Amino acid sequence: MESSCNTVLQAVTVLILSIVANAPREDFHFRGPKGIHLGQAPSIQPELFIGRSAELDEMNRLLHPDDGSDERRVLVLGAMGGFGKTQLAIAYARQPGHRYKSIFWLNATSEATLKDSFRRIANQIFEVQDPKVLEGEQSQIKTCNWFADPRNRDWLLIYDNHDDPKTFRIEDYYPDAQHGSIIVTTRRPDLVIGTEFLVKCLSDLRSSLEVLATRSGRKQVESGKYSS
Amino acid sequence: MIFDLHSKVPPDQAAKDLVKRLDNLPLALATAGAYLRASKMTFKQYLEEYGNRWNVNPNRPANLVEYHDRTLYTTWNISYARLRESNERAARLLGLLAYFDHQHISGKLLRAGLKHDTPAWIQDILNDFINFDGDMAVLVDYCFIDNLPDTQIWSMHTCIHDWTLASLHVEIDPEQYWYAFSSVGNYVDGLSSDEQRHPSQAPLVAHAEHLKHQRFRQHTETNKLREMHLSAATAIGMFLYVQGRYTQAERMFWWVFKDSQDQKMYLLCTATALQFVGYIHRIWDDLKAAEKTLILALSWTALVQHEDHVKKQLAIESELAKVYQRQHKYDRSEQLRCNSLTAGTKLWGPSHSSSLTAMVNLGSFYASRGKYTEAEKFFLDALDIQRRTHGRKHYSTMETIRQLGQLYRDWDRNKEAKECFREAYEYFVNLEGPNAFSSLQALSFLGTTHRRLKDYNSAEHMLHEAYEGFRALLGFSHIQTQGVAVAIGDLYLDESLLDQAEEWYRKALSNKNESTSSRARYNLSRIYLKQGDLGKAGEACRKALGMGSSIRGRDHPETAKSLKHLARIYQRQGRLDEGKKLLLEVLAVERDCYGPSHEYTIDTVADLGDIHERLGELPDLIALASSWGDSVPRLLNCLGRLLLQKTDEAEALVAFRCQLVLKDDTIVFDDLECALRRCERPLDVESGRAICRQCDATVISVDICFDCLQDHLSGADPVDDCVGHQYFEIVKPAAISGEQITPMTKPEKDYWLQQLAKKYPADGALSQRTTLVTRRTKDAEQMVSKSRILTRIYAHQKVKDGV
Repeated sequence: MESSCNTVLQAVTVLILSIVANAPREDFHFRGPKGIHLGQAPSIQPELFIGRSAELDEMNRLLHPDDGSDERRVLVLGAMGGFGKTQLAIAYARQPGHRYKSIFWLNATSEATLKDSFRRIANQIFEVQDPKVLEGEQSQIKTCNWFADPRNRDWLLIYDNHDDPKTFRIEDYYPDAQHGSIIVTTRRPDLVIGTEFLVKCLSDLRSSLEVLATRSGRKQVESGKYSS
Repeated sequence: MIFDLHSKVPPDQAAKDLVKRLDNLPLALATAGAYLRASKMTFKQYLEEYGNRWNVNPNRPANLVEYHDRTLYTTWNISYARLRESNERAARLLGLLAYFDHQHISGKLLRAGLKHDTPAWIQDILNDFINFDGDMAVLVDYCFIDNLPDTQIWSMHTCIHDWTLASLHVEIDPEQYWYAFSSVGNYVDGLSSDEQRHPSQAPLVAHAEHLKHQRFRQHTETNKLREMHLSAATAIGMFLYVQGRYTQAERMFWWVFKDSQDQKMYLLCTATALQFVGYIHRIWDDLKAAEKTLILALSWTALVQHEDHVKKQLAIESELAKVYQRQHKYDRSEQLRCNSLTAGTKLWGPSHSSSLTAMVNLGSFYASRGKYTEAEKFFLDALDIQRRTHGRKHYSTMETIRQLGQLYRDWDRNKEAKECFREAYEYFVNLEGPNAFSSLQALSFLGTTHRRLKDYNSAEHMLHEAYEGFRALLGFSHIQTQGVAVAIGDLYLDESLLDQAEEWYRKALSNKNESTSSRARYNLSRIYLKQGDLGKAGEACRKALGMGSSIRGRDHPETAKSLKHLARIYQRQGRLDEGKKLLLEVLAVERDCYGPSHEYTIDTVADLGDIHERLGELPDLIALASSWGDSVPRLLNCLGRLLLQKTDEAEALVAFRCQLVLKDDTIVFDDLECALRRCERPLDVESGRAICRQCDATVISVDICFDCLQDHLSGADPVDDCVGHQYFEIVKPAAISGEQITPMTKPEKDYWLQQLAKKYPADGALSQRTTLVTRRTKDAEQMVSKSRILTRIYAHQKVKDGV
């Protein structure tokens, strides 16, 4: 009786295994770029972003120097809050005619937000039938592997608001690859490894006036008048 | 795009001010913009509100989607909380920085206020250099502050700085405020006077100004100076004064005055405060206020039981003398100046700084009164002592050199003036930077001398730079700015750019200052004269003269310039007698002031000669030629013409011969050119010379060469109305005789003039007029033969179809 039970169990197991084996396999291989996904990034209307063309050029130069090397570079955008680091990173991603085929935004405030960002990205990259396959660390592992695929070049990852580098190592969340581009925004640029780029205030009066005019919705920056 | 950058309406100044106040910080700009979208406030109101309460309406933070719910307040609080957790001392240091300015923060400044009774925690964060540098580095790492590369100087964004004061000091901490106050005070007090003036110290001005931040002024414990703060406050006020921040300095001194009056121990502070307020009012040209304050300062000084009190008294008195001078109370001014020179010399000897200052002041007083010789003596004496005691490169030496330059400029000794100004300018720029008062003043003077030396390009460049500098420093309507405007007008006038010149003179008229507007009016009159508008020219000149003579006196060389100009206008209007009277007056002043061989004097004599000629006053002209003929050869020309008109052709010929000079191996008629436009060759004995017997020399110039005369008479080149007249010709008969003609020697000329004066005595000139056509005195004949005169005379009757 006992042995027959075992036999039945074995048979069931084999059956289940065969069913599982015959089920369509999830595919996590790189099959093509995915475009721009800024996800939960604070959305700024393009017309509200003003000036900064010199900074954007400089960022491009730092990430893609003219020496022709294609190795991965990390650009650390550092500044105190309010200087427009995030906006600058997003504007960089949205620049028309840039070279990237996939761009993703990650909230690097804490490890929890980072993991959440990876889950969302995985869902955007992979068309999985069974959501369970991306549970736990899997979304991060699969996503990083996808980015590490040598055929998957020309991607940009933005790790935004990494303001507390003392609590965890951001490098642990980078894809293990020698290619691709990474931007980290932080208030502690001294604690993040990479090419440091300190974000300053708007450099010219005209841009600043334009910010003021656009935000206030006043057609002309004239005192004593306000327009609808 | 909502905001049209190319719109015709320029961005409003209030918006620009707001941008500047927020120092281009994106979040601050976005917050302001979003707030203004939801309210009816103007930019100006927002700016005022921002100044009053750093965080506008914290209960209704502007909603900025892309910044989540962060406001200016909260965004930096996050970083601050982390900082405080990890480094308490750095966090306190950040708090202390709220009491200093946000720029140019140095350890030396922060530590300057340390004393034994400084609060222990401040000593703790500042005393140890290594800890301090480490803490500042932490603040840099947190991006609260920036480190100027390769220096020990830090700065903070202005909005973050606003936040440190607003958020970290919801309540003002008087302990930290007074610590910052004494730090700034001790720091500036420790600088030498040359260092204090230096433009590199300008960032300290901002630290000093920050001490008068509105929040400190409103707090009961930080708006009153205590005894221990008075000397620091005085030091800060003096620093602001030498840096040219007069408004801030005045405010600081009034504060010192207000809070020191009732403290008997600090009479010196009170007196000093009043003294400097007086200085500042004089600089502002607010003479009544200056006089009042300085007299008040004198009375406080009298109460001081301090060795310095006499010195201070003399300094105040010399300032008061300047005020009196500006008020045209010359006697009082002179008296004060003489007093302080005698007092200073008696007390400390002539080489003491006070005596020297008094000497220079007296010199500049005489210079302004047109007593140039006396002034030069005082300046040179002072300069001599200063060079021996301080050397050439010293502030007070250089001040004297500048004043000496001004004297030479007024005296029309331009090359000497230029050297003085160049030396002073280079020194002041090096010391105080190009935008300081002294540098700008020296530059404007230098520009003027360049103009007078006809180097117009350099002059224009210098004067415009000086004008912009003064406008930025003192404002548009200040006497210095207006003075440079007049100088620029002079430049354009010299270059005959009349419209531009008039525009600049008009700028100078917009202010009530008598001395600049009289100069401007005088020059406007010169323009009208050039444009031929005699009526307007006369009116402007009379106004200028009225103002000028009331402030300087009728016998001042500057007034003489206006008088001479008016005389020219009268000349043009045919009011010859009036013109002559003015010119005689001018001549007396100019001969006295510039000397007989100066260009101005010579000009006047020549003008006077013209008038005598036109009035037919032969004896007067002979007298004038006797005394001035050597330096003003034109007089002999006038004399010749007049003799021609009186039909004494033989004497006329001698007169013209007297006018002959040897130049570049050619004998020419003293710089005369053929007046026909197409010719303009020098009139010499080769080309010959023809003079119209009828035309008035000042109306039409009819000195022409023979070739042109031929054309002219044939009708090929008519000169206005001078056709159909008789001509008097002087030719060189060298072609005939082959002999050389020589100019008259001086003794010959003098002798001839003596004889001529006898021939035309002052009383009976008219009776002799007609009989002298052919008659020659024996003496004259003798002389003529002696000098082998080879000039042929003949009257040329004009024939319509040529000769």
